[in-house]
Amino acid sequence: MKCRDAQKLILDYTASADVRQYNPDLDRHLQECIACRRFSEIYSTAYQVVAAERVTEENPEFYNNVISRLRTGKANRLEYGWLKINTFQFGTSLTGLAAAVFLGIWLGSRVFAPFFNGSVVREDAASGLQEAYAQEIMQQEASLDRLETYFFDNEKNEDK
Amino acid sequence: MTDSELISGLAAGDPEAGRFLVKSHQLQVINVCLGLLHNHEDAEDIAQDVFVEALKNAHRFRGDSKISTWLYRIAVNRSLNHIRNNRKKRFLYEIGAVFGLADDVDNNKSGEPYTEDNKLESNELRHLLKSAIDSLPENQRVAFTLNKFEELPYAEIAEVMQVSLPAVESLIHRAKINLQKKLKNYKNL
Repeated sequence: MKCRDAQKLILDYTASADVRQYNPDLDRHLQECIACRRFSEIYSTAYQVVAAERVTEENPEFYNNVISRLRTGKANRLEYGWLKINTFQFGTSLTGLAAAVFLGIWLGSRVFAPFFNGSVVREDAASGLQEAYAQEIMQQEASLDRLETYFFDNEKNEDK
Repeated sequence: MTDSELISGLAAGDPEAGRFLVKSHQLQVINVCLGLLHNHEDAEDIAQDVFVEALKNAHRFRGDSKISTWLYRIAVNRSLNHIRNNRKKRFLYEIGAVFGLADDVDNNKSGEPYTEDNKLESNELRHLLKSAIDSLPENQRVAFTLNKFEELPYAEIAEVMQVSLPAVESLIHRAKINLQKKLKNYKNL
C-alpha cells in the first residue's frame, strides 16, 4: 500500500463514528511506515479535539431567543471584538478626510496657481506694467527716430 | 411528530410545531454552524437566525427533502454568508485601524474562543486541523465538514449543497488530498 492511499484511509477511518474498521493492508503499512503512523496519530488526536468541541447540551433559552428574535428582529445580535467598528463614525471620518483633501487641493490651487503659471504678477498689476512698458518702447522708438533724423541731417550738411 | 405532521403544523402556524422543530434540531444546526465557524457564540447566533428563517418560510417548504436537510442547507448558507461578511468587515476594520479609527485589531483572527487549556499539543493540533480545513475551497470545506463531522451520507450532502452525488464524491476526494498535503507539512511528516 502506498502512503498516499494509506493516508486517505486514515482520514476516512478516523472520522467514522464506528470503531475503526479492520483493514489488514493499512495495519501492515502503519507498522512499517513511521510517517504514516505519525500522520495517523496527529490526525486522530486533532480530530478528537475538534470533535470534542461539539455542542452536546441544549441551551434552555435557545427556543425563547429564537422566538424573541422572530418577533423583534435582530435584537439579540452579538457584538464581537473587532466588529465593534462604528460604521457611522467610519463613514463620517472618511467623508471628513475626503472633504479636507478637496479643500486642501482647492486652496492650494488658488494660492499657488500663479507660481505654476510662471508669473507672480497679478492680472490688474500686469496690465499697468504692460502699458508702462509699451510707453517706454514708444519713447525709445521716438528717440531713435530723432537720432536717425539728426544723422540724416548731418549727412546732408556734409554733402553740401 | 413525523416530518409531514411537522410541516403541516408549521405551515398552519402551530406554536407547538415550531417548538418541536427548534428543540429537535437545535443541536444539529448549532453543530453544523460550529463546524464551519469554529466559534460557539457565532454558531449559536447563526443557528438562531436559521430557525427564524425556517419558521418564517415554513409555508414555502414543499417537503421535497427531509426537514433536517432543509435546515442544514439554511445553516450552511447562513454560516458561509457570515464568514464572507466577516471577511469584508475585517478588511474595513483594518483600513479603519490604519487611520486610527478602530480599536486595536484582535489577534484572535480565526474567531476562536480563547481557552485556558494548557495542553499545548492539543491546542496546536486543533488549530492545525481547523486551519487546514478552513484553507480548503468553500465547497470542499462544506462537503468535508458535513461528511466527517456531521456524518451525513453523500446523498444528503448532495441535497444540502444542491449538487450531484458524483460532485460530492469529487469534492470530498479533493478535500482529502488537499488536507493530506497540508497536514503532511506539519513538523515535516
